[in-house]
Amino acid sequence: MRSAPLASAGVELAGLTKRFDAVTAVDGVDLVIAPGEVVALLGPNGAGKTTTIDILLGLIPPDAGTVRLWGRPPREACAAGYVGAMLQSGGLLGGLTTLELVELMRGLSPDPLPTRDVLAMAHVAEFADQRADRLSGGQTQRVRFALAIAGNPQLVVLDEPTVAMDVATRRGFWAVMHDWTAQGRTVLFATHYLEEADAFADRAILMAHGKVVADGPTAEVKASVGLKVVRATLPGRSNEELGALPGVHAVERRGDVVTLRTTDGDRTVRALLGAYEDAHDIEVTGAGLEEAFLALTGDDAAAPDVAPSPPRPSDRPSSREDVSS
Amino acid sequence: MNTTLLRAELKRARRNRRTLIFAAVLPLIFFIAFSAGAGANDTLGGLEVAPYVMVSMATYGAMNALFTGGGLIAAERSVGWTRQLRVAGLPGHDYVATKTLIAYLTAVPGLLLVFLFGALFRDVHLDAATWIEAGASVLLGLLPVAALGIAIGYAARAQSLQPLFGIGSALLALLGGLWVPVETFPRWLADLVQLLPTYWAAYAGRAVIAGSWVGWRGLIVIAAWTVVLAALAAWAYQRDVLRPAAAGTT
Repeated sequence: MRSAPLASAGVELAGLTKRFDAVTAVDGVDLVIAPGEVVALLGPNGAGKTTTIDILLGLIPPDAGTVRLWGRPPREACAAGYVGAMLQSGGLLGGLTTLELVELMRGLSPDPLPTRDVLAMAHVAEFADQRADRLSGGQTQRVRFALAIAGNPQLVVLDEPTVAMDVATRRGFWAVMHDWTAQGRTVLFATHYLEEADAFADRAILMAHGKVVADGPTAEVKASVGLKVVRATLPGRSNEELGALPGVHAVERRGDVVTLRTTDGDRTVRALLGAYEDAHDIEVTGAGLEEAFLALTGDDAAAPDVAPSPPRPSDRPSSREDVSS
Repeated sequence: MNTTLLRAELKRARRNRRTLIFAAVLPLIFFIAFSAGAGANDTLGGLEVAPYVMVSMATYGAMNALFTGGGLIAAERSVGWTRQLRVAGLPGHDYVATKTLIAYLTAVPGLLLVFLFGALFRDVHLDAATWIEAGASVLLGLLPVAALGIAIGYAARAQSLQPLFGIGSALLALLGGLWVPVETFPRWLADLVQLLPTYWAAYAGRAVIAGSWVGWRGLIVIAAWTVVLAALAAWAYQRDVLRPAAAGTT
């Protein structure tokens, strides 16, 4: 029998830090997830999502910081059946049928879900008796989800569950997930796709460079992601000057071309044209998620209303160029 | 040990026929071929040729089963299965113990098959206790190989498993005097071979048939290799456990 979880405690991460050689993959992450929350962990590749999840699950130890799942260290919580996971790049064990795999995972939990509930909830009943290593990609992901929920966990962690799926398969998968979250379970899922967070999460956490750069209700985070990028050719103006334009929170310059990141594209453009008659070749583009992440990183996130000017190493990926070209 | 995992692993072992090729079919074919021309008066290391080759081949088959049994961990690591089990709360030592037990169980059919052929077609007549003792001595003598298999399972990539197994198995068999009797080796090579565990595993089986036991020297060699390779396996396990799933992903 499982002892009753503490009412208030869900997931608690404090001061989590993890380095791999010279790279700080997770850099002081604090996070509390209440029971019943459905949380999306967003971020570009290399943001530290998978490392955070690995530490949270007790798969790798942090260099510093603590993890508590329902008040317990991860290993204890896992042993007590509190946690189910669909890990990245996971395949299925060969030689067993879907049903046998489900029964195996049930057998490892002290308080599993009934088999038929697992099969029904994950929509795997139709191929329960087929060898799991011979299923299609979409079916495989559903089986992996079935294995994640078989132990009747309080918390399900999904690390980019839809990464290799086509659109239809992805939709099917989230429909399955939706049924599960409707039961008041706690879910944390990492994803690249903002629309997935939008559709399924109550709360979104943005990570970049190992740090949490935004955390809040999905709608709010989405609004902050609704940034515009204004680009113009404008010689001889200082970055500080341009950073004072309304809405602008970051300025960047390459030769005579300045790039302004703004929360209000219309006002910024009006002010730009009003103040600088020589501004030309103006382009306004919606900032992609990648842009938003970069905007929310480091200096920008710490002081969103001032204009940090010198290009930082992180500001030079080629994706930056793609925005207006 | 977790019985749910054990039951599932037994099912998988039964369905995995490929292991039987190296653990049973190949050693049986070698036994048939290598013992075909031997006369009743030919002896090797104090035994008739047939029981001598029989034990060598039984050891060879069991060695293959133990070697691959541990090595399969590499394949399960590569699909993230070991991590999945850890999240499900299964302690690592439970998993390793189950894998070792299964590897030993898959070693038994080949051993029985070779012994059975010896009894039925090669005039090897032993009482029941000697058969059992000889088989058990071989299996115990192969403990270092079981540890080696687990070390490889935690250290190797799944893709390198096939070549590692092919080369490793052939080397262990050759240097252990399983394919070619040590008695025909030059002196210096025979001395070297007696430092290796596979030689002593087969020797342990033959010693039982000859009415003796493996002796202190063999016991010490086997025990030393078991300790060293088990430590290597533990190190490889620890290293794997502390490592993220795939290099480059964060």
